[in-house]
Amino acid sequence: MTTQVDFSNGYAIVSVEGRVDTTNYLDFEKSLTEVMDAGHKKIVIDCSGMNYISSSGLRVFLITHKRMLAAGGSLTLCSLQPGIAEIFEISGLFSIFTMVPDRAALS
Amino acid sequence: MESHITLENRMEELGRMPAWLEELGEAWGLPAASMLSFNVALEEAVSNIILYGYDDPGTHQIELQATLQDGVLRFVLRDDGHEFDPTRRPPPDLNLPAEERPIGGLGIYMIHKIMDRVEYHRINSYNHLILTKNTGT
Repeated sequence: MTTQVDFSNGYAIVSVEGRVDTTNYLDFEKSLTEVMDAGHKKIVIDCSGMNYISSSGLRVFLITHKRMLAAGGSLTLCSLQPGIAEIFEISGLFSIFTMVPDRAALS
Repeated sequence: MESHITLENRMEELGRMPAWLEELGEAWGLPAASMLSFNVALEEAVSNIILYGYDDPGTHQIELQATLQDGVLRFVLRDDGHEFDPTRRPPPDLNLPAEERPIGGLGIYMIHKIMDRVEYHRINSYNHLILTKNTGT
């Protein structure tokens, strides 16, 4: 799993690549915590390169969502692969996240 | 059809599971998206064993067996860790708003959602977790 952060139109966009699982979800959480600690209020996670997510990875999304809500900010997910969207569906968490099909759909 | 893999009780061992699942999924003609969700279910079960199954620093074996018979895919996980029956854990309340939902409990809920049946047996000091799914193949 690797992450990269870009800034565009007021968004901090965290791109995540590879598998987010029990062995590396803490690294993923750390990357997001750094962006939140820097005070960014509009965070996007670009999931186009993410090809697996375990429940521990989903927890990181949930923690980030909660923290952004508490901070009066927003978290948007974009470009989920179909198999990944299915795992979000299974978790029952799909509906709580704001999702857009791709970066171009960010307002 | 039968396939198996033995993992040691270290988190890095989870990294061996995807290739095993991918291989048997291809050999048995199961869709890749299903194999992804089975990976989620098995990773949850195995990581629980690694995290909570043992007090001693020794190496233990966690055996995973997969069989496909009459369209029913069956995973049997066998380990010599502490007695732990994940079927007895209460499911999370998905009706709660996200900010009030507890972070834990999600993994076991997902195992139940992904599989048709989750059974647990304690036999001769071994945990047996049996996960089955009718694949319709």
